[in-house]
Amino acid sequence: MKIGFLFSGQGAQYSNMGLDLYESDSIYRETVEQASALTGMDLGTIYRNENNELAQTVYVQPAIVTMSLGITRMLKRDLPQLDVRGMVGLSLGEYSALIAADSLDFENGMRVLKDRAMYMQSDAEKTDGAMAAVMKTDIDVIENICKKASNGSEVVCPANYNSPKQVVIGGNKAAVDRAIKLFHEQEIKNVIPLKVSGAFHTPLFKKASSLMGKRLANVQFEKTTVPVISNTTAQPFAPEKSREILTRQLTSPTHFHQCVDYMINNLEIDTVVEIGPGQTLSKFTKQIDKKIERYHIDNQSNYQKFIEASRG
Amino acid sequence: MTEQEIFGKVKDIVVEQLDVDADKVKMDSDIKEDLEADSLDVFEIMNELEDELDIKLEADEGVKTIKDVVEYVKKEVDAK
Repeated sequence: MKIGFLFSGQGAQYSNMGLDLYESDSIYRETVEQASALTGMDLGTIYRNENNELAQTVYVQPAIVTMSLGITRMLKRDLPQLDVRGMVGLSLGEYSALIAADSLDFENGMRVLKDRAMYMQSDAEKTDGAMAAVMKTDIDVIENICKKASNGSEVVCPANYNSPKQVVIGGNKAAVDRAIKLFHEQEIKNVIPLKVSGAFHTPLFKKASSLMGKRLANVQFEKTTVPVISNTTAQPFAPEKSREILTRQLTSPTHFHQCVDYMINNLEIDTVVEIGPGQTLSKFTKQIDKKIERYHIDNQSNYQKFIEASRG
Repeated sequence: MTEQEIFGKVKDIVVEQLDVDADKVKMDSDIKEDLEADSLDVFEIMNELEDELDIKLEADEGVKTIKDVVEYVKKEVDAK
């Protein structure tokens, strides 16, 4: 197995995620406890989601990254010989990847993430953002419609190039609505409005991006142990560029499709392992290249399944 | 088409779209709860069925279980 790790992004969360790992695995539990101390959040309670905490950007971001890192530590302990060729995280998941690849240390990473989540929540609350998934439609057509639907004060643009079959657009609600209307006028019916709290990866997050730039100014990035492919550039992160890229990340579209292509073509992966809640990224990978073997780990049972498969 | 034939089609598409084992897809499986589909998945499944069977379906037709999908598809196929 030549493996690419995929790290879940926001939107993949669900109630009680990772709690079976928390109960059964000491290194996982330790990770959650350390992250709780570093962020000043009670992640155990947040995972239970009894008061809908996971619907809030400010809580869900540290919760997902912590889960992904807890699982990564378990894998490092149980399968130290694993042939990991590269890593990609979707948006938020890029922090999981950079921490997993020792570019960003866990303590600083968690603190930065807490602030990132706060900046983003603030922009999400201040703007009238909306997003919609467009399926099976040419990128040129999508980009054209976005241009037509935007004007000086309201914008809509591609925000996530997820797979050959799915692009998500986002922007001011009025502009997104205009774009949806234009799609319908062109007989493109495969457009689904998404339930999101903001138009992530669009210019609507300008304020968060500028705050992020300041926040990252004194954060140290090391060389990654394996290539981590950036959503923003679709190239490996280089430590001297990471601050700038992570600042731009907030207002730039994600190129998950190209990132996976990079791992297939340049790092020769034949297997992906999605680490963190859900299996959205595995599904995108399947749409990108059916031949890639796929695993996802978000509970004890699929963790064991992967351990057994990797030992042949 | 018989209900059984439609079930076969739905099952193939669901297995492909959701990456689940074929024996997990039963008439009474809840698509979102048991098969862990999100609304985009439901949309894609409907889309595939439309293409394969040359019918028109709405993704938000209130389908919950596989049985709901099969019955909805059967209704549209019969009305063709």
